[in-house]
Amino acid sequence: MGTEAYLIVASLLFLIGASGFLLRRNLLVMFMSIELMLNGAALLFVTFARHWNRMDGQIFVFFIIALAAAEAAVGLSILIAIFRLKHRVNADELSELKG
Amino acid sequence: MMFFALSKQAGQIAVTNADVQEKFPGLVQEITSNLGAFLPELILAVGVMWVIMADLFTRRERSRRMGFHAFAFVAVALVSVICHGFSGDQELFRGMIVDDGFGAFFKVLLLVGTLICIPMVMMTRSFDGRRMGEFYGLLLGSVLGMFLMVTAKNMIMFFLGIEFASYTSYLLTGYLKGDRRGAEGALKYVIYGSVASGAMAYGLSLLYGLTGSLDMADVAQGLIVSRTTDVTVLIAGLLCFAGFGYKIAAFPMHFWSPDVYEGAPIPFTAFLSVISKAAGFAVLLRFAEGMVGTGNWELTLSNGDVVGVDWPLVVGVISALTMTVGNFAALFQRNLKRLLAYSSIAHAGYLLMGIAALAPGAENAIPGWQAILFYLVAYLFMNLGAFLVVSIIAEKTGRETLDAYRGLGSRSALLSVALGIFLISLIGLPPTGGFTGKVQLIKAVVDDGQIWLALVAVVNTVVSVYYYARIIRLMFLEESDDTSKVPLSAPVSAFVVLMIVPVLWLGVFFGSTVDFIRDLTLTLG
Amino acid sequence: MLLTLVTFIPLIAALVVLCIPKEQKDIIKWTSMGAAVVTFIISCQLIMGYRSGGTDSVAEKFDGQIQSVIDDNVADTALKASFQKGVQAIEADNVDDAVGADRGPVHYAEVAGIDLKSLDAAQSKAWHETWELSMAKGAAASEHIRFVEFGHWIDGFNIRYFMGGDGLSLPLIWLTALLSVLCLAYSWNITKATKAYFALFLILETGLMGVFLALDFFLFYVFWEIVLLPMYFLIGFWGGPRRIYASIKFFIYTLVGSVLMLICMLALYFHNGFDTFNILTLMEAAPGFSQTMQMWMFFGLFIAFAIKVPIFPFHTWLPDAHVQAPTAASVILAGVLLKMGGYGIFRFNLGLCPDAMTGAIQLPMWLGGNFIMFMAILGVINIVYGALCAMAQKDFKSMVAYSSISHMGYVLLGLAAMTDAGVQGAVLQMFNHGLSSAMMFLIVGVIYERAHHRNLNKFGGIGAQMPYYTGLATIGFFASLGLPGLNGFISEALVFMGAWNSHTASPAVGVFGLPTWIVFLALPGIVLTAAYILWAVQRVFMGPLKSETYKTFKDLSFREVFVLAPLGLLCIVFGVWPQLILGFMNDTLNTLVSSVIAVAGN
Repeated sequence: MGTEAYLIVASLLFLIGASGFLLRRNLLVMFMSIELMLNGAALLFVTFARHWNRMDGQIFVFFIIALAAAEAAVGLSILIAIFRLKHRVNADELSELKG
Repeated sequence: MMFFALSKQAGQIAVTNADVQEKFPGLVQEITSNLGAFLPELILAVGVMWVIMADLFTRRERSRRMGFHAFAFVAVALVSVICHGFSGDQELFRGMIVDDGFGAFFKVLLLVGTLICIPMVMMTRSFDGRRMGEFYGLLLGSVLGMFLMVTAKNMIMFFLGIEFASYTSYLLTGYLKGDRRGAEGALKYVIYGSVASGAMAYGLSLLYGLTGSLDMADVAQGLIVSRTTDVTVLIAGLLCFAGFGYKIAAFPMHFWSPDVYEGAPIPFTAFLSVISKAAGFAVLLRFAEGMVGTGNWELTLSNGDVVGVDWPLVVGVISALTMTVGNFAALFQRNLKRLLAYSSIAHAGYLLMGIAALAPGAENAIPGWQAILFYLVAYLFMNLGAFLVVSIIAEKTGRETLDAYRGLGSRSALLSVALGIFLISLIGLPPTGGFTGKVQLIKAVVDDGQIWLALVAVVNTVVSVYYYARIIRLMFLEESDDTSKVPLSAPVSAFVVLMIVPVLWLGVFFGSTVDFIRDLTLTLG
Repeated sequence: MLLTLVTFIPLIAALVVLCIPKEQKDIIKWTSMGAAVVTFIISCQLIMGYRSGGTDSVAEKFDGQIQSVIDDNVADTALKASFQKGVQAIEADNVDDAVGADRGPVHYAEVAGIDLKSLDAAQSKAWHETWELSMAKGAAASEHIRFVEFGHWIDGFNIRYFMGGDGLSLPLIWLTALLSVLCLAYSWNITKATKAYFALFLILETGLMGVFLALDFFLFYVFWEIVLLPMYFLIGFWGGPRRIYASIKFFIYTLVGSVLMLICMLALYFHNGFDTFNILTLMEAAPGFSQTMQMWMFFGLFIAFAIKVPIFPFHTWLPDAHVQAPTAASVILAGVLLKMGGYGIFRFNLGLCPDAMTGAIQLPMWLGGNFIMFMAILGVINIVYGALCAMAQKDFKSMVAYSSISHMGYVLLGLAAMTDAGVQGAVLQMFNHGLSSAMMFLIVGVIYERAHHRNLNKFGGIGAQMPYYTGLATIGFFASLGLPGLNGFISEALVFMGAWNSHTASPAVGVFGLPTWIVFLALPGIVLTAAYILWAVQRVFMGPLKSETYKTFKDLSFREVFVLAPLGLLCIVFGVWPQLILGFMNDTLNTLVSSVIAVAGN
């Protein structure tokens, strides 16, 4: 398996995540799509680290994983706050601020 | 993959265990010797922990006093940055971050801005009766993240810095639990922010793949080698720009900002609109300056073919769209916070002109980045000043809509004149810092030969007059049924006056600031 | 020093006024008045002193300044000698207006054998300033500029505090100072926010003085913008019922022009590596500008100034602003603000685009074929269209406002003629219009204060009721009409003479001559002007009293006489003795014309 195969998988992951973010309206699913995008990037880093035979790409992946966890924590806590106020988790119903 | 013309080059061999053992003592010594230049960050880190811990030992009703503690830490950090000076020119921690005048300048900018925001937080009554230790902890944490952004040289570092600054910002936006608008703003912020960081991570990984390095200087250098993959470079650059553009609220990554600005507590809106934006510009500038330094910035001729990406044009188009979108949307706003949000999108557009004009032209001309730095200084004072008045009015009247400003001229001369001066500066009329700053930006693009962009900017200036002047008109030319005076305490008045002085000073005696900025060092490795 | 005083005394007074408690209305008024009077006295001194000073004194001042720049920054004697050699080379070139010559600092450094790369920062700055001043000296001497003041402002961008007055600006300075005194006197009974009113008026005066005196483009631009805000507030706060609409319209129109000017200013700064905002330096180098450059500069600057003049089709802000503005603001607006535009066209378009002014630059036919025809046609449109509109007005004040548009058309026509008579007539027309239109607006103000309306058709028979008023008003109206013996006649006659003469005189020196049919097209303007003014006089002053309330009208108060009488007197004085004012302008204007002709000759 050459580098290209990994690149294709990573690109697919990223694109699936991006299209999921754009098409789905459930906030939880949107967060999951963002995770997919990050995973695509992480896979790409690993691939390139292997390709260039360097360590720093792999280190970056650890940070991406940690940051994704932190992001989920922050995002979900805010989501819960919203759910308590509105009992909805649909992006289209967030319409108090507009103009 | 057709986009990737990858070639196996001799990469660095992975570090072995033996290496570590052999080099470890030297490494420790190197790290400790670098800590001196890292002192401001350490002070802030201690400050984050201190305000959270000290708050635990404070009664809830006295929790607002944590503001003084946070203020003290920021002030000490400011002193330590200034004492360290602006002439540093070295890499710290094995090239993770750098210590240079450019970074120090931005640190001062961030800290001064924070020093202005903290009293605004303390004046806000909607925070009364809440635990404020966490708020200030998150605020200082956000500044710490931005410190890492503005000094980062390695892409890991600045990715971490951006994320650090962002996560704290999400939480601060929604700090008022139970406030529906705040919670909604925070959620929109976190969703758009996460997707932007996802895109940026992907863009960074592409850059890493193209060049085999995470060091910004090496990336810029490496892009020369792989010139033939222009489309990939463009895609990678644009994906990275999604991350920066989201921080500075540039088109098309600006959607979050009006909602977040309107939902967030006013002092934090002020913080986001100026300080967060300044940090975003610092990263963008450092990144772009690396490309300029290696000749990757503009189209070049190689073996008879035009190669590379015309970044000045790309950024110029983004800049033009950003200012136009911001200004035209601002025309129809009734909520002053939201209006200022759109105006700050427009100002991001003006600032991007400086990036579009980065390649220095004539000998004595000021390169774009110096114009940006100057404009950021002016913007700091004028925009924070405007938010200060908005915040005072919101405290006194409980309203953020434009109606609250009707007849303000006769109700509070100081506030209305101050807001008038800040707005005139935001329009860009003399004798204010906004004028001299905008002249420098326009000068930079004219010098670079992008007259069309200068024309777009001046047309936008004229459009912006309409909505800024509408506020001036409401304050001075229209009369209100409510003629009661707005009472101001002496410290608050002094605070307002203190914000006017630099705006006017930069409009008349801007020479010394320009010279100061010109002498800053910029370390790219 | 005098120019700094004349510019900044009003500003200082404004700051003082702001510090006075607002209940002390008398102190506020007298402080403002005092400052305006002192400014006026200094402006008289400037006018008196202008002709007595010889050309040499200015040249000496420049030499001294150049010498001190060199001495302060260059220690090495050999380098000093090279600098001096450069100065001599520049001065030698100043004498002949070489077309297409490279007159940049780099070129002269080569001529003088200065290696720019070997200079340190201070020395290269010094060389740049030496070059700038030596170039400016040429223009200053030929334009007869006096009272120059050198100062550094922002060294990083070579922005200077550089002021000077010549035959073009000093009469306008005097006019500004005079009208400010009269307007403050007329505004004595303003009760709404007195303090702010007087402070804004004084800031306005500073801005106007600065615009006419600044010889650094950046400085000029700053003053130009400073004028904008006080006027916006004066119209917007103290104006009539539609004041808010009128004030924002005024603001936005003027700003469109000034941002265009900003772009032109920066383009000039970067042109050929000049890096200077010094207007005189740029003027001296102007014959070397390429024709494309001059064409775009001309368009940009012309639109910027045309909006202020205002020239058709940029005139629509003017009737709104005038009708809504309080009387004193109308007076300043018509008397001085419009002249900023005219002054700008003379100073910048004429000085910086000589090829455009000789008609050498080709334009599409629908724009007239060249810039001379372009301006002449716009001038004629202004004259005739303005007069027709004025005739159609029912509102007294908007009639006067449209008459301003018509009168400013003569300025453009006279300039397009590019003959001595035409250009002198044009500048004189600006000055005269400053007096007569100011007077007309005051006349309207006086009657409006009594009748509380301005409908021309509802007046009648005022003449018998208010004889002194009618007497003074007639002088103002007839001066505006161009009756021989009053000032308007002289300038209009000169403009027509110049324009008529242009078709034979101009081609002889290589300048495009106006065809005579243009003059014929403009002639109906005179008839129309006579028609609308006489008709207005008839409707207001003659006939029976149209309303019983008019019987209660008192004749002019002492204050009103104090304001109107000097203007009426000046209209007569300059009508019978125009040389009094023409004498100041002649030298400067003739040089301006001859420098353009010199370019055509080459």
